[in-house]
Amino acid sequence: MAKNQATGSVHRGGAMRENRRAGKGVAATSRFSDKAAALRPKSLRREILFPTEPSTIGNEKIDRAIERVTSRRK
Amino acid sequence: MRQEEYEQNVFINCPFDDDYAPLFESIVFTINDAGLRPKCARERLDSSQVRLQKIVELISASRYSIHDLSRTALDTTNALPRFNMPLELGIDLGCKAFSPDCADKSLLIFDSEQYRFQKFVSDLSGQDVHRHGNSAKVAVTRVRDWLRTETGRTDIPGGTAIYNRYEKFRTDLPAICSELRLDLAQLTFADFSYTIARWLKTHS
Repeated sequence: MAKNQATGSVHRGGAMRENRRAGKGVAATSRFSDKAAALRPKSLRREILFPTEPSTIGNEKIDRAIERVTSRRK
Repeated sequence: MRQEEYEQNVFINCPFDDDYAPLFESIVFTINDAGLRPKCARERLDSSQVRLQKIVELISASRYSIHDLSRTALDTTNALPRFNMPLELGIDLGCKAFSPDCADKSLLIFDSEQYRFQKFVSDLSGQDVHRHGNSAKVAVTRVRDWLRTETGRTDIPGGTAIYNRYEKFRTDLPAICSELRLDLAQLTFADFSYTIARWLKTHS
């Protein structure tokens, strides 16, 4: 990691350059993305949405059918 | 609340015939998997409402719309084209142009061939019209890429990942319908969309 000899502080830009040379640049980017995703407002995160229109079968019946099919496959 | 739903709704304007069903179902699945809510004229069962009024309401309640013009062709019985899809596209374009609340609408237009639409709606020249070539896999990727760009969301899965999940869902669907003692054709749009959403929750 690059270090300023006068102040002793670590130079982040230098560290990133070194990481890139060592093939670690992607990891730094991924960490940034994870942090960005955590900070993103909840409303912008992907969440599976259900219809607003009423079901004619009954949502519980559909839930049970999916559960049975899924567990049978396992 | 209305604003939040508007941002999440994707209106689908497409044919509802059996030939088109695989494309329609893959598009509905993609919208659900992208974390948005599919809407279409089939979801309203209220017979007291005029059909066009239902469509206008759905269009004004959806920020995103998919219009498929690929089946605009001459009917073999009366030699006239089916023009419902271009009509609904026109209503949507009018909504975007005249309603300040809907000026941010985004539309995805499909046709069977790249420049075919210019022969029957030449006023659309200059618009980006996409081709799915009747392939569910291509439709999934096109819809996914468009939603990714237009919503600005970075957490929408890739087209291949969505399509692979869609194929698994299609494998499970007959068994799910059998558990419900229903033919697939008997599932209403709301029930079909709910089944996809619940399946995705269970398989995420």
